[in-house]
Amino acid sequence: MPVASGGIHAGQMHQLLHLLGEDVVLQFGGGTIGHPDGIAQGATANRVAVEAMIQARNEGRDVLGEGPEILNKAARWSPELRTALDIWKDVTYDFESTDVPDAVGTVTVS
Amino acid sequence: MRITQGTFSYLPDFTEDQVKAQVRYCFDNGWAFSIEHTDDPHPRNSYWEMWGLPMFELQNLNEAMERIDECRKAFPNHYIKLNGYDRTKGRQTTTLSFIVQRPENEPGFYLERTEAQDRRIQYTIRSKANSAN
Repeated sequence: MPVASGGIHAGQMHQLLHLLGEDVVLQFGGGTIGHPDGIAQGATANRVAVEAMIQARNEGRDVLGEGPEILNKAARWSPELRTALDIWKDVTYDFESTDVPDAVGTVTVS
Repeated sequence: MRITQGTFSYLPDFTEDQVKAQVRYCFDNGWAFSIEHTDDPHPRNSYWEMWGLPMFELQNLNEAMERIDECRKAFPNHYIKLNGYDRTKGRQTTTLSFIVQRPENEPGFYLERTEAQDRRIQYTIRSKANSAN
């Protein structure tokens, strides 16, 4: 069973569900206790996000494509989720891979 | 206190169409569909009353919605939940369970303290709903 942890937050719920599926453990550490309104509010934001995403997935919607829209719609009546989306919207995993070789191949002269 | 038990309990109450979409998802996956109800919202109450039997062979969406309405009419002030069950080998588990009806008034729970040996406090919760006690 895949387990996700480390900087994940409610704003990425559509990507998490798409990449890892529904049989997964999602560990929101900072994404829960870092919520400005409190830890319980962080947990509520995560729960609202995952439930809204699963509801949309069950209805047959394209969660990856429509994810941000689904989250924004849920955030309209959930102030906890609105706050979470706003403060962490710049936290993404879009960066250059660090898994590249350090060494540059050079020709040896015999 | 609006109980947050089951899937979708953190979302606002579903419309008829939204409930139908979830039931359709159960049928599309070949899951058995069942209806349960109770007046006792204690979180340790795993034995809700069954409404009819699990509908393993039912594939008709309208018939399913009718069964749900029958249960609503019979118990307008009970919690009612829908379950989807996957019987395929390797799974054999409940795959979806969500509340579709709540009583008008959800009074919440008392926190009861009992002093035991050496003044140790033992905690338990009791439903404020009169019918549950």
